[in-house]
Amino acid sequence: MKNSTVFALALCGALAFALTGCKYDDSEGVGDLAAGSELVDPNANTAGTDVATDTTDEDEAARRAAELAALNARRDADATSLADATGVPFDQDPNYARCTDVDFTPVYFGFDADVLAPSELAKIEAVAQHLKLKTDRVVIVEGNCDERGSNEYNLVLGEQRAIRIFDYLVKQLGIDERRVQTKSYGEEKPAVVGSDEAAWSKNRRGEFAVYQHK
Amino acid sequence: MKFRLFPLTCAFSLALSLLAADKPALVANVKLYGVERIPVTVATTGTTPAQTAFNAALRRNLQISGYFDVTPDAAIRITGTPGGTVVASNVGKDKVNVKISTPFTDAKAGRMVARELVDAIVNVQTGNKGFARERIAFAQRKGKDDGELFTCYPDGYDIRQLTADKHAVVGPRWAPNKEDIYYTGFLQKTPLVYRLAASTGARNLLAPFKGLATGAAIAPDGKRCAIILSFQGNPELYVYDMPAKTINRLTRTLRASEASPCWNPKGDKIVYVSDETRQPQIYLLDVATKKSARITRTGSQNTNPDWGPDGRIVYASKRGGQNVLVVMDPLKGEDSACVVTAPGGWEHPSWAVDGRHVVAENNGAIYLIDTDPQVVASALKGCAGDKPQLLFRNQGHWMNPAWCR
Repeated sequence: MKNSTVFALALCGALAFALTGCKYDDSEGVGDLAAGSELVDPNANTAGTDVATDTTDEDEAARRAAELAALNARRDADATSLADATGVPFDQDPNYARCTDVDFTPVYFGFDADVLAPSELAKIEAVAQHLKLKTDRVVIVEGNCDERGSNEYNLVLGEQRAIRIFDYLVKQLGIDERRVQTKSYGEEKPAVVGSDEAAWSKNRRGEFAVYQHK
Repeated sequence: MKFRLFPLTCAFSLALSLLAADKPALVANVKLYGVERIPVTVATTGTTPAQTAFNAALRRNLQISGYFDVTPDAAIRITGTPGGTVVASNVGKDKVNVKISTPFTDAKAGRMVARELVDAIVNVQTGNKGFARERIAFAQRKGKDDGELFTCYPDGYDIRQLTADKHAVVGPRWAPNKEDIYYTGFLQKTPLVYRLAASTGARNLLAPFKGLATGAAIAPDGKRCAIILSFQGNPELYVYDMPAKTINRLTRTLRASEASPCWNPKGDKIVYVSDETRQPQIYLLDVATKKSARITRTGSQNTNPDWGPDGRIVYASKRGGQNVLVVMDPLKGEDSACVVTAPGGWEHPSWAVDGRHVVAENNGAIYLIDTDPQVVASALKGCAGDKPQLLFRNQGHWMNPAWCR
């Protein structure tokens, strides 16, 4: 994607989030923008880059901003129709196929926590880099938990972990949110079977399943 | 019916068991109750497999009801021929006969007739509802994302496997119609809520929600479903009006997750779990105003609340590194809370229709727990007969029991 387009989309996206009350609160967890992000510095020198016509960029930006505004309005709504709450995940969509040529390192979490440790951010940035290179690819972030605690609670904790990774990919690293979905396995799909900290620490994780548009 | 504490029974029974140490068959008959129970004699006849099954189920269901002890020469006497007419005499304060004349020819039907008779005896003797015919749904975990859904009766018999999917089953709950079970399954690789008819096995997806869908609990009106969804971002508590196909958000906790909602009997309040304070605690929410308040503070994790027919909730509480079950009136708060089990791995309690017994899992096995305060006190003092009773002894990792009521 062209740099100017990236910047325009990011700016509109940030504006839309701000105007609609910014559903997500990043007051803790992911911290500052990570190195390597393409989203900052509106004064960056774009000379020499392949720039599309201004009119096309503006139209695209306006369309995207309208989409984001509508999306955030739906997100903030207290009452919703069933149609707005339903959809097809990538792994059930016949238009997508699982990619087997990439295998990203899991992101690990602390006990009963959904906070992204600084040591884990580079793993998410690697996924973002891949998605930026392969624009026909999408990702499902899978949240997992260790076996301790209620399996019902662990199901939502796993989803919350996946959402923290989603947030970092989308809001900090600029990946189009339509290319990222979340899923929780709770405690149902441990990476390591065992009942000690060595196993538990490997099971509190977020994994990445990459799909490609056919 | 009030029970008197009978403190010497434990010591007496222990002495009996020591005297009979070289006769294990006798030890098995010693009743270690700390709470007096009503003696009942079972003197029914019959030798066919169906009649034998009836007699065994009759004894077992009388014992687990919490009210009776099967002994010789009791005032309440059950006689007759199973499959023909069976009569329980001298039941209740009016000393009436309770009769059943349902014919049967197989063991399963025989057990069902025995359960019906026990429920009738409990009702006449105590005025309370019996739970013998109310099924328990539960899950089996076999491995990574590998499990199935089952039901059985409280006597542990007639276990029925309802799914054969080899996918994890989480949090089954009965609908008020006593037929549909709602649970979270991974049939489509992502956690979604399914409705399964217990008698036919017919199943359908509640809705193809985006993101997480779990914790479905059907309101007493049978139309509204409290459910945890993440289609708007963070997992939040919603009410899904099933006929109208509309969804109403009840919580807005940007940095927290909600889980395990449960309706009160009137259908205007919900208890649920939230980790707003970074550890899961139980909250009480008024559905009309959407106002909620935290109601548990003791215990580092309080989860799996279930709101019983008499207005009390039971939940799992982590204290000192282990889990106990706690019973509490949610409108009165923790001042009314009582611990009803010894420390262990207790999770997922679910009330019976009698508002006294609870089914729960403990380290991969499922138990019946009598929460009567005197029984609890006796059990915690070590009287084996009042301790939680294993639902069945089948090998496996059994979890998430939900009692139909």
